[in-house]
Amino acid sequence: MADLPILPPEIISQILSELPTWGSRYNCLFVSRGFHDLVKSTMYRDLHIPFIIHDRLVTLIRTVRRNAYLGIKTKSISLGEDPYDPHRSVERIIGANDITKLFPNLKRIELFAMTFERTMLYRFFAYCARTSGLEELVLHYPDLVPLVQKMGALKKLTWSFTSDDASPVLLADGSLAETEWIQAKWLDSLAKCCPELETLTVGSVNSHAGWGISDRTSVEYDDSMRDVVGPVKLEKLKEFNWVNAEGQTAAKCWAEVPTRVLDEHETQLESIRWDFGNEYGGVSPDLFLGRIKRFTALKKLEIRYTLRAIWEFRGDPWPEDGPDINLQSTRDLLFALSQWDPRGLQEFRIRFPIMGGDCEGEIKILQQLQRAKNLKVLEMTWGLPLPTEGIFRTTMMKIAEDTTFYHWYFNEAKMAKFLRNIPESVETLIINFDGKHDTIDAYRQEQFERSRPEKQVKWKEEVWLKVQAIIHQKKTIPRAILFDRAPNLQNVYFGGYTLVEGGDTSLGLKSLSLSDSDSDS
Amino acid sequence: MSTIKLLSSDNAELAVDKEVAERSILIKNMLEDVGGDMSDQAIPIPNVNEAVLRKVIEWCEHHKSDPPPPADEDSDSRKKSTDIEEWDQKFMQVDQEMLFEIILAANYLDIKPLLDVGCKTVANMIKGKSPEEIRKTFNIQNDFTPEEEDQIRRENEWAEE
Repeated sequence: MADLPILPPEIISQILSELPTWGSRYNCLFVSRGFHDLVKSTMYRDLHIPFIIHDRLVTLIRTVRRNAYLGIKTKSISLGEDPYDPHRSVERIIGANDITKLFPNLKRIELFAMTFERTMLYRFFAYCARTSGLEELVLHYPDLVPLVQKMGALKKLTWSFTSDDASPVLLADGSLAETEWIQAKWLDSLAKCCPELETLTVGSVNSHAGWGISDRTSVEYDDSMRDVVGPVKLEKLKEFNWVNAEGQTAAKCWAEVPTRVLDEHETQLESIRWDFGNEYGGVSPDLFLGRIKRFTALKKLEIRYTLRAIWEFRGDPWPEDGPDINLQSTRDLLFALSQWDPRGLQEFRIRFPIMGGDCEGEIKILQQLQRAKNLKVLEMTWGLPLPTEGIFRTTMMKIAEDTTFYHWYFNEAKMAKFLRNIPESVETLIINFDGKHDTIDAYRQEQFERSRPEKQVKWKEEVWLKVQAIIHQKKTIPRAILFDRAPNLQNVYFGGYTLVEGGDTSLGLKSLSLSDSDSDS
Repeated sequence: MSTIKLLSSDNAELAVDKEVAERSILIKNMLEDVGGDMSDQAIPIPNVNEAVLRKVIEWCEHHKSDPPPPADEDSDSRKKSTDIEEWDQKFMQVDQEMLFEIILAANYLDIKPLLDVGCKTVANMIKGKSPEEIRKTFNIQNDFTPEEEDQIRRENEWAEE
């Protein structure tokens, strides 16, 4: 038997960091003195205690207060209130204990504050402002609350709010106009309080964005006190991410933030991520696509289409009026790209939730990207093959057993045709068809809670097996097709395909009719 | 596809596809430094013996087409230690000495995904065990006094399961 201590401390530390905060790490504290010191450093360096229950939080704070050397170790803290905690412990304990005194060397704070009162956030901001080295703040709160004190070192801010238009935040009288005004005030506060801000991420960052309350009733938002907020400029902003994680598209009234950020920083932004979720009733993709031609400094663009449920798919695998378009929004994207001069673009990533029957839409995107002469990184991934029936009426769980699926990915001729359109300058290429549903698989096929018809969506086993059989095919394609096209390629990930020497390099050169497309049963 | 040779610490010469060997950032950088041409000369891997090197090559061979890791390490925060691919789980079913040797080799050769799998495997061996069971599993001596154990218990009550 080998002794674990033969491993260097940094590796043991990595092993310990893989363990859950509670239980396993606690037991490791008692193993030996050497172990104890490593576990303690690991635990306190990155203190990950979201939704901590009352008793644990009380004892943690008591321990840190009595042993100041522990709090000094902490560089990152993730803290969150248990929504079922009647004591509202995090709010009360943060209120009574300046977290930055307890943890003076924080570089990153993440706070799940969905049950906080609004005024509590002002106190939280004050604590953050006192942490001179704070570089990253991640806040989960159902509303936006303008910052009030300067955070001089802050470089990254992520604010995840309640996006759903059924949110209590948005249901009160006059709340829509108020929401627009608050967004302008919030951006203005960022310009004043975060002079070093480089990365701003806004939207629904994860599934927690679907819930929470906000007591937006204070006199500060009285009509008579509203001022007009002019253009807001974040001098150092380089990266903007509009996130609709798991398909949670923000309600239209939240458009003020992205509109202002895009309009005021169009020649400054170097990186944009834009998520397209369900387009019904939410912030429209046109908000971004209509402006794309103005982003003259853009080096990195990431677009993700995410469907919360299959029935939200708005495309047709076999439209009568022309070649296949993967999603309705792809038409808009194509139009936007055709208007754009992407000469500075170095990296382009796109995620489609569904694969259609033909790749004409994707090829058109590639053809537009060919104008980006400095494009080095290209990633294109697809989720599910498109079921042939019931798409607009049912969810995956109800699809009949004889359902067939469309996809073009494992048709070598079509793939060759696709590859022949890759921009020649590409050095890193990632192409994958993974068979994953962007929301169901995110929850590992467990029950997906939502107060909508697709509540409790689960993969039907037969359907899941059919999809797995499709995506686990193995095909080959001549290496020359790819490398003749993009001779500078250094890193290639090509899911499901092996590149082989020789082979038929004329693949995909003959024209293909729509009837050549694959369907698998 | 070009082949290169690796020389283990016990002087075994192993031929391996360049693409496979380049899963190791150490080897990739070495090849870049010499202009990519090491066809006639074996690259010495002084910290890794033949048996371990063969295992590492086996892993690299299986994972040669893996996608690059996401730029944002936190992008899938749900991935916890139980998330080890089935193939990797079987690959790691070796005796403890070999497991630690693989981890050390992955660290030396700078193969981060293999290092991650190794660390997760050891973490899974720790999960659910009492301190005494952990000591027994990894041959560790308890050097605490009862008073020290009491103090640790008091200080870390919040993390107790």
